[in-house]
Amino acid sequence: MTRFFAYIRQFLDRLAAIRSAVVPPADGARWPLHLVIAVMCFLASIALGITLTVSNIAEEWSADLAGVITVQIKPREEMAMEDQIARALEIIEATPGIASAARVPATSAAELLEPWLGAVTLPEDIAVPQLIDVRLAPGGDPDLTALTQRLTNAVPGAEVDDHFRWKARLGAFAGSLEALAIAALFLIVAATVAIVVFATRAAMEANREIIEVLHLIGARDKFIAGEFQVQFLWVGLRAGLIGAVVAAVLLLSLTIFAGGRGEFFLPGLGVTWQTYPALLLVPLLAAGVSVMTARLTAMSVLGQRL
Amino acid sequence: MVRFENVGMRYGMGPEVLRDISFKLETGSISFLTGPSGAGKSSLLRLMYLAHRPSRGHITMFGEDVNVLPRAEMPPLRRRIGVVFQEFRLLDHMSALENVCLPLMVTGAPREGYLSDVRELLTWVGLGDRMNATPPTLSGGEKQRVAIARAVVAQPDLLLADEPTGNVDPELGIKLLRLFMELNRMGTTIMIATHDMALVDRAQDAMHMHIDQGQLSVVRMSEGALP
Ligand SMILES: Nc1ncnc2c1ncn2[C@@H]1O[C@H](COP(=O)(O)OP(=O)(O)O)[C@@H](O)[C@H]1O
Ligand SMILES: [Mg+2]
Repeated sequence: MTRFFAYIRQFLDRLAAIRSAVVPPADGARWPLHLVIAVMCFLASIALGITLTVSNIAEEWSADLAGVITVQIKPREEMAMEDQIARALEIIEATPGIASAARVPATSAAELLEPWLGAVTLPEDIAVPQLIDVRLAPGGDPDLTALTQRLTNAVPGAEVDDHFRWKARLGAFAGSLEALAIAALFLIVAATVAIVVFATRAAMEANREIIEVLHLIGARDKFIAGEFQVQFLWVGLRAGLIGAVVAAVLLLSLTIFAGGRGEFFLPGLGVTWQTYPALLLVPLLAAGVSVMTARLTAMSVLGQRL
Repeated sequence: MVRFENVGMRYGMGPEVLRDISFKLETGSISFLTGPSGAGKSSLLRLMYLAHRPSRGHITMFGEDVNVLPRAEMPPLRRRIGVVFQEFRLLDHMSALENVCLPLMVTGAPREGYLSDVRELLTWVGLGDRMNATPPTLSGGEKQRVAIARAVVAQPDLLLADEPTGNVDPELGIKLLRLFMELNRMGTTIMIATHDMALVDRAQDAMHMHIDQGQLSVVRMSEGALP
């Protein structure tokens, strides 16, 4: 165990020692760079949250797309509830493309109202709407408009809720939202690369004399590029951490403050919890992108010198 | 070790600052390069430490044809050359000690392997108590000695010194000359550019070349060398 801790400490020491030895760090002068990369990482975090959440929702909803229609029967004076249901079942089952139809076990009014009113005692005879679950045959595509027509004609108080239709539409919307967020992620990475290219060139220009001296005493391009790489490693990590933390705080508070109501209408609309561990990737990605970009930029700049 | 054949050099599109330079440095030799300011001494050294390519002619260093040497193969060659720059070119944000460590650091050698040697060298040039000072806080003479220590720390085969006594009092100048002679006795090939004729007269058996308006002439040969 002590060996394990010793190992960890050694690793951390080594990590802390990873800094440029020769090129002076210009951290103080680099706050705009930190800011821009932190903003990029914030945006990337949000896009990542959207991607994960939306793909979660889209998945959940498309799982329902097996095809379920709900027929709701509202109580009416002109017909008894039991008759309404029996007639509706008859009509539905006679429709081609339907696999099965079953009444959803009756819920008492009290149970339905509990979330709203709390546990209350209600008169037993309060009529509440009843539901019929209709499963479509696999591949079946019943004419829902005609079915709706027939049902509403024959059964007063019947309403067809073809929510799988709008769920499908929402699913498609979720899909394009996801694609959009992924595209945004790519653009953010591209913008970050461009920023780091600029920053690396500027840093190399500012340290021109040092680079030349290093060359003349026999440093290889790799060594010099490494000096700049290491600086951008820390810039990427720091800025990425700031951006991701700010995004996490924002997403969390949105989920907490808006989630209560949002959850009621659209279950799971808060950011999925998977987003938060995934946000840890953002600083790592930022550091990786910064290091790679700085390296390639430095090597290409150095390659043009003698 | 070093061979120039009809070398010409210009900066950018400017006029030729060196014309038809031909000479040879034998391994283990010591030579002086004199000439008035602006004659082209620094430019000639710049060609030798591979900071500039000739605009014509041929330069051979350590048997390598510099004209066709790929970039990637320059670092190993440069590591065999120690340079005392005329303007020192120390890194201002680093201590004297770190500056002297630099040529070893860039080779990737482990720090523990050379740190005590570097300290010893700095003590030997009289900077034992100034190791942690940064160049801006050092006097001209102190900077000069740090620059010399940096040039010799990796035990180069060829040492090029551009006006190494330009910033020091005559007494220290003589001490530095003795240091160079000592290094030469240990096998380092040395070329010193200077306008200090007194220095040249003190080293009677050294080769002496004179340059004026970009043209080189050999004033005195050392034994066994050919122009
Ligand atoms: N970087 C440069 N760009 C253009 N011309 C230069 C440069 N360095 C030196 N020169 C010119 O080259 C000539 C030789 O200079 P230099 O080699 O420094 O002479 P020295 O070291 O003998 O004083 C001078 O005319 C000088 O103006
Ligand atoms: Mg000069």
